[in-house]
Amino acid sequence: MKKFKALSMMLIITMLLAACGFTDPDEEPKNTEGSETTDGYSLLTIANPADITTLDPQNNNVITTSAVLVNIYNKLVKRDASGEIVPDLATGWEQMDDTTWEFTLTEGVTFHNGDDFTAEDVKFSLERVANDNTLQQYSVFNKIAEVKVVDDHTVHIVTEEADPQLLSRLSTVAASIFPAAHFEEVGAEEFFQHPVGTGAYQFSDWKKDNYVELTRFEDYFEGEPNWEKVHFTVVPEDSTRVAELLTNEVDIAFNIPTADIDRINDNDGTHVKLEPIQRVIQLWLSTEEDAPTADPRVREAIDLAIDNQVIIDEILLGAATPTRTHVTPGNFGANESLYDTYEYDPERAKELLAEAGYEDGITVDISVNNYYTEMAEVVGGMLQEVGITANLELLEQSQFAKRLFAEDLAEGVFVGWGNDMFDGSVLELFREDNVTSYANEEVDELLNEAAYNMNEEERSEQYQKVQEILAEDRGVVYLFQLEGRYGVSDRIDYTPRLDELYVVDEITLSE
Amino acid sequence: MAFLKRSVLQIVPTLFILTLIVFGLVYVAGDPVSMMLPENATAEDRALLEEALGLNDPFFVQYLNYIKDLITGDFGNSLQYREPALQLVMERLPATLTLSLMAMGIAIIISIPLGIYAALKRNSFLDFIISGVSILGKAMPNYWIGIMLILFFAVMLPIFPVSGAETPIHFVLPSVTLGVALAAEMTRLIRGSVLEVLEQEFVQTARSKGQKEFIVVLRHVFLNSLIPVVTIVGIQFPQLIGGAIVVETVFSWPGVGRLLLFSIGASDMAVVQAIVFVIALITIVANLITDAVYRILDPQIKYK
Repeated sequence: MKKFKALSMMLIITMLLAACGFTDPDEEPKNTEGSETTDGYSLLTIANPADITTLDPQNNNVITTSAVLVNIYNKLVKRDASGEIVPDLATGWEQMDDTTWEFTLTEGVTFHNGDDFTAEDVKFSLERVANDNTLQQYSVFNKIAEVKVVDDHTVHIVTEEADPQLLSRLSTVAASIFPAAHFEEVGAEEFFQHPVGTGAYQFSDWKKDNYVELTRFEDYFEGEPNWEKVHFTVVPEDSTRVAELLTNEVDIAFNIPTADIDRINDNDGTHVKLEPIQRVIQLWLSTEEDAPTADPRVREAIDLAIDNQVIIDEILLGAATPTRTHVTPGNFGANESLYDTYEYDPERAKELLAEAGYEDGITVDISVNNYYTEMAEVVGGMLQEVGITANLELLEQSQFAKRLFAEDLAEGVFVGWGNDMFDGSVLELFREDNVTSYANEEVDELLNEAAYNMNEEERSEQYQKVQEILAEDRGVVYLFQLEGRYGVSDRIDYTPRLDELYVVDEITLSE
Repeated sequence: MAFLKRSVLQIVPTLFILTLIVFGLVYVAGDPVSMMLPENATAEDRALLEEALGLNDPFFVQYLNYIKDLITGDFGNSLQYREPALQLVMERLPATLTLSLMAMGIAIIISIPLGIYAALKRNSFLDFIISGVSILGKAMPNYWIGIMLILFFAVMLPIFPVSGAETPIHFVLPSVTLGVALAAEMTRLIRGSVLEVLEQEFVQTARSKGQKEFIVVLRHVFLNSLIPVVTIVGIQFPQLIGGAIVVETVFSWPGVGRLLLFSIGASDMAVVQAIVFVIALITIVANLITDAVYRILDPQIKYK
């Protein structure tokens, strides 16, 4: 009898469990999602580690957000898959003088709400980001003095001073064009709740921290887009993102851990794509007088002590390319002779230290963005081999950024740095009064000239020269350019871009 | 009523001190502006943005402005999302509360029968197993349990979805993950508490009256052993919300825990404040309910 009662109690409990766990009359289970993804072009699902933070491309500074928004809006110009600047909403452009550019606009373009695209929209959108100093992208566009409407399909963009980077700026997602009349009518807050652009995909839903849904814009001016729906889902945990890919719940899983590369390649139906991204890992060394690294021989010794390829092979499992410059191929002014190469000579490093008077070794403090802890620790080990003791100070991202701005970091700084503008001007990091106090008059002169030089060829040469000097001087020790790691379903054909944006219409079903 | 009045009077200064502590910590720890600007922004860009956002005021001016708004019920706007902070929290709160309640439910459903059974069959083989598994359950960190559950029950045996929160079936793995540790703790507690009550004289009396064992266990033993259990449930509920930070991350659950993690990383003061405030309120309410339940369970408890 007792046993029977115990049994019936268990049964009741099991039923209770079933009742609260599995039945919910309001929601019908939609297990169709998995099968939907195998159904041709009906749905493309891309899993990112982080949610978008905003639908306002001009008030954003995060690539994972731009990567989604690039599908909703168009710019005057864009970068194609190879990084070349090509027409988008402008069919052509011409430089009238050093500070005035004329853009001819594409005709017959409509916004998602049906409004026609005209010159007024360009003026409104670009002047918004050029004038509103609370927007995160303001600093990139504030050199634009004015946008003049010449006629419905012609504008003049006037810059305050000669700006050789204007086209680069206009090709970023922050230069997106909004429908002026509609925007002004509803106001910014309402507009970015239900954003309207001219892009191939229109916004349909954003469940915060869950997914963003875009749907095909049938009247897209470049022809009907491929995919009916696109889901950008948010899966913060790396191993969960990999699991989603392995179970065919997603088509693309971004930023997969290196440890999972083999697992994804071995799995039937998935593979890994590795493509270079703009981030270059580098070690900045202070040249302030009291720092031992002020001596160029010490900086050279540090460079020679590091075996870049070993770090790439062991920690990144090959997903990086050694470099001696920040301006990697695909960027304006790249000095390709300094790319895919590195210098490693620990014996010479020891000699250099001895020459500099540090036979007994030295200690260098290095502040590390904790995102790169593992790499920095290996570098520390390599430096130890030649007699340099590296004291690593690990800093969490926001703390790191704060101390960086306050110029309050140690004599060495281990950091990964991007290049949003795809331009040699990223080297301005090492112009006078910079974070490492590196000072070289020739570098300053070249950088100052290049910043306003409208002659492309000459400007490119100036940046190449700066890269040579920096590599020689070891004003900074460049280590390697990272590669983006994407887990991809075999059902699609996808080549990741250098700028890490998901231009959905470049993604197709595999043959 | 007096008890309620006193409780409310305690809440106000508690919350006030809490806002100061959180404000101070976020202020010291991070820097929202450098997280918002492009990498190559200049010191000038930075100063401009700081001024535009009112972030260059001294600490106490910022804090007083914050408190002034708070008194009128305005938690401020998120720097990252440009939306009212409280709205961001409230949007995600249902997901977290549901998850926590489900976890709590699972813990109760598992622990009560197991705890009672282990106590009644004290020192038996099954008691040994139950106690052993409880210790194990308490010892396993929940991010590990979560990843293992995904591996076994979503990837190797595709029974449950890997992550997300769309359908009821999505609730299973995350709420089990979050509930395991609590279930383990409660099982041990119930076992101990039941054992203690079993030795009381009124249990002997009930048995000698010839009452059925089932009634004895349920009415005399179980109800009387509930007080420490209620305490644990009351204390643990807010902690579950804390544990949700990990579980929400592992299972891509769109809740408050992940928002908190992101906002701390971005030094998004208004959002961190709003979340801490809401969790504090939940904690206080949970404690009040616990106190009230005590009184129902044992009318001898009086508050002076």
